[in-house]
Amino acid sequence: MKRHAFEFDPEIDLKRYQVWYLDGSHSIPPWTPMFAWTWCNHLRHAHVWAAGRLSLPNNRGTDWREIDGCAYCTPTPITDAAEIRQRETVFRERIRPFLEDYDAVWQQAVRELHGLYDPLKRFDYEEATFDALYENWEDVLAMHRRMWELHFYLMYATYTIYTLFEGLCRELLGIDDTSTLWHRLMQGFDNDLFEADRKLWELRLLAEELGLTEVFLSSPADQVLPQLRGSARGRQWVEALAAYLDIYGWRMPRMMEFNCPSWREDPTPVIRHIQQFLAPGVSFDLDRKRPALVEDRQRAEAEVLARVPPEQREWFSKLMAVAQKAGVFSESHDFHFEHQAHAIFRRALLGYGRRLAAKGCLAAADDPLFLVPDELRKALGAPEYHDLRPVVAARRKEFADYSQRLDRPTLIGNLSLEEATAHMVRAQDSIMMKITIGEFPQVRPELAADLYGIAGSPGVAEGPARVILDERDVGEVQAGEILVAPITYSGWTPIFPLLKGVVTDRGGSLAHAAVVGREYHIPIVVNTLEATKKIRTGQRLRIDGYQGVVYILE
Amino acid sequence: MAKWIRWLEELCQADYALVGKKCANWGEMAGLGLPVPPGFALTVEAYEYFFARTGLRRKICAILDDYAPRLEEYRVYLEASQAIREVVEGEELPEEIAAELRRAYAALSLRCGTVAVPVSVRSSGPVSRPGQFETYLNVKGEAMLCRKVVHCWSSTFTAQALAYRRQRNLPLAEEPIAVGVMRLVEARAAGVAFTADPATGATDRIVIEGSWGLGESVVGGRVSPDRFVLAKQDLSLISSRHGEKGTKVVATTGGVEEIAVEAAERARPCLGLEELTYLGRLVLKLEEHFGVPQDVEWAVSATSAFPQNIFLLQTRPIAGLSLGAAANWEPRATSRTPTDHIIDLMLRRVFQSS
Repeated sequence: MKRHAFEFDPEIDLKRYQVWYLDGSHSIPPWTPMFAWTWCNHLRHAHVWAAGRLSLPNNRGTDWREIDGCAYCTPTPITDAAEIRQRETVFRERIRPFLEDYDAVWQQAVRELHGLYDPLKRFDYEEATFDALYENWEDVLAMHRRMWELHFYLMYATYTIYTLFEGLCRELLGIDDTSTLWHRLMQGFDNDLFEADRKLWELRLLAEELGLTEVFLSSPADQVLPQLRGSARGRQWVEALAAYLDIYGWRMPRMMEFNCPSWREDPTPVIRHIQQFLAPGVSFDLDRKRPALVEDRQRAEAEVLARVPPEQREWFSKLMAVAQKAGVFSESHDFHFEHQAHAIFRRALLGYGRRLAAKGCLAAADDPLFLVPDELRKALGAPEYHDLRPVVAARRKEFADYSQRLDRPTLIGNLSLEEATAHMVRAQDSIMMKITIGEFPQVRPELAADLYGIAGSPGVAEGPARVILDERDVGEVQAGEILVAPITYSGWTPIFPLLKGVVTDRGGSLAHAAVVGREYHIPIVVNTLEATKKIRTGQRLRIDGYQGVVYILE
Repeated sequence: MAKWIRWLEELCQADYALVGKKCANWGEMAGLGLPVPPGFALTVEAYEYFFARTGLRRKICAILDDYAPRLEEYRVYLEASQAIREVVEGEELPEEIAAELRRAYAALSLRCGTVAVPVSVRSSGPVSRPGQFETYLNVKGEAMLCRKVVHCWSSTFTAQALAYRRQRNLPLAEEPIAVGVMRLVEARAAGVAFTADPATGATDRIVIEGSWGLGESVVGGRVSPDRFVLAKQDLSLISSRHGEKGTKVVATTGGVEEIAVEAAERARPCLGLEELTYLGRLVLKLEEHFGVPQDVEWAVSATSAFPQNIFLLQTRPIAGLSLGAAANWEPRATSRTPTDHIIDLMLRRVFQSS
């Protein structure tokens, strides 16, 4: 039986749509029912809402369906010329604030969100009445829905500007978003996630200062905290950790799911990062590298501007400056949007779970992950009249089965990979192109590489591979390795100082790995489609971030 | 559905990987309702199939292996080119492709109201390489068409093309291209039009160069052409210089021929004012659509009356124009501030509308 109305139905969904693209960036491995629901409802809604709010002339947003925990999307371009013209007039005014004062629009959105987050972060799930819990669930849903609305409102506008700048550069300068000059223009920017990493590095320095290095390095990560609590200096560090988690702990190793504990719930990932940071030879050189990157970016800007006549420089620099914010936006928004909203959402689900379990309505705290919102509404509205345990048990069984099926078709429909790419290009959906689906790589036999992808950040590196399929294994990464993953999430930034390079199966030039790689000045190759299938941990790799290719050396 | 053929009507700008830039833009022009001759494209895949199927790829690699150590002097490139082109042109078009090609050609001829329509056979690479590959004019009959397609593919192994690829570390042994098959415009006059001055980068004007006969003489630089400059704003004639136009290329029974132009004809401008203005309006539509100054090939048919006699044959961005010049296209009336200008660009380029 269907859980919701956005489950894929070939009878309906392939009648007028030609093709559906797997969102391998986010939905591999497959999601729990609650998360999949929020994606197909709130996130899908937000695409439509934002495209309408901005009045994107030829795009109604993206449509989404679920197939067994995986998301598939397809563009919905507008083809009626009269409608396009009508939308254009409105678009002119709606896009203007982004060009006139981008930062103001950004700050207003962030303020609005934190206004929604703050009371939810303080909400006491143990003491609240069921009336309050019921109301809280509506607030959580409203917060989450609003988060996605603002998210896509900002993202469509930002990437449209980015796409214009990229198009001008491609045609006129012969560079695109896979060229080195392009990456130079986009590097040397700080963002709010880096700030979190910087503070994490300060915790590492504190551990060293307090003489705790031995404690960290001699015990497994999950036993470090109990040991620290045994000494005064250890407790001092634990207090600093608590202060850190208060601000930066609203994140989960997998950003797009509810099934991993947040750092606040279980700080073991933080401890593991501190251990990684304390290993010999690791340095946090983001800030040391930054001035050189900034200087190099300024040189690249000057190079580009020199080719623009003086009377045209005003609008061109303005456009460039806003386009450059795309990378910062990509990372900073993760911190303020998905990380926090999803961690808050999870905290609420577990809170309801505990309370409903006590009423015999559910069996375990994380049972709500296997429900959809209406079912939870029923339960919270009248807990004593519902027993949802059989429903959850059945869903858990289904999930155990489909979550193991990682090899999902990239496309569903009647188009070849090439035709599907052309279809996506024609639809001109900047978010699909740059993030969720990415441009498909071209095989370039002359390079005789083992994998062909998209150049995400320039440079060449050699080193042993570390294949990570599950975000919970990020702690296994050793200094000097090349990370190979389906995609990297912004929760993974702390390991970047350790890495020589990154190869991903999916993602475009604004994907997380590419943006962060440029700041750490390491080569990144994205959208290879099959790196995690072809590469095994320990194999030596050479990755070429100029060409976007990978060589397996042994 | 044909495997290797795409009709003009099926093509648009996004298809450049499949049918090369020239053909993709040809389709885009048709989609805009601009006057282009009818025809079809043989896809890049046909090239790949031909070289794989015939075993040519292996043979070419073997020849290149022989020459590779000595590929320094241009003379050696010439020798290598000759050796490769000999084996390539010694091959027949595989029947699978030939059959499709014959079918499409017959259909095109029928559309043009004849049995063997004269066509031009044009190379069309996914990456622009102006002037590197060959184009054949006035190709008639299916046997000749099949030959010329092979010649077109073979022209990816000219000494010039080999040297170019070598210099840029591109693979030498192939450069897949598509081939455009376009009804020949039996031109009274032909030439090129630029929607910015390619020499100075000035974007307030349109520069049109033309001469008598088929476009070959202007494109190939064989004559000193007429040169007309129009103001972009109102398409008024700013200047016109009459070239010598000593010879012209004309279609003959077996191909084309260069003949002398009579004295009286030399002195006359090859385009009338009415034709100039009309052509100017057409190329401006192209610039508006593509968003950057265009380099357009045009022809005026000898067999039809104005304005049905004017055809656009290909378009591409003007090569080597500095960014400044190219970006300085006519701001619209609404573009009062830099923000307006950016929004205009966004509407025209990102959403490719208005």
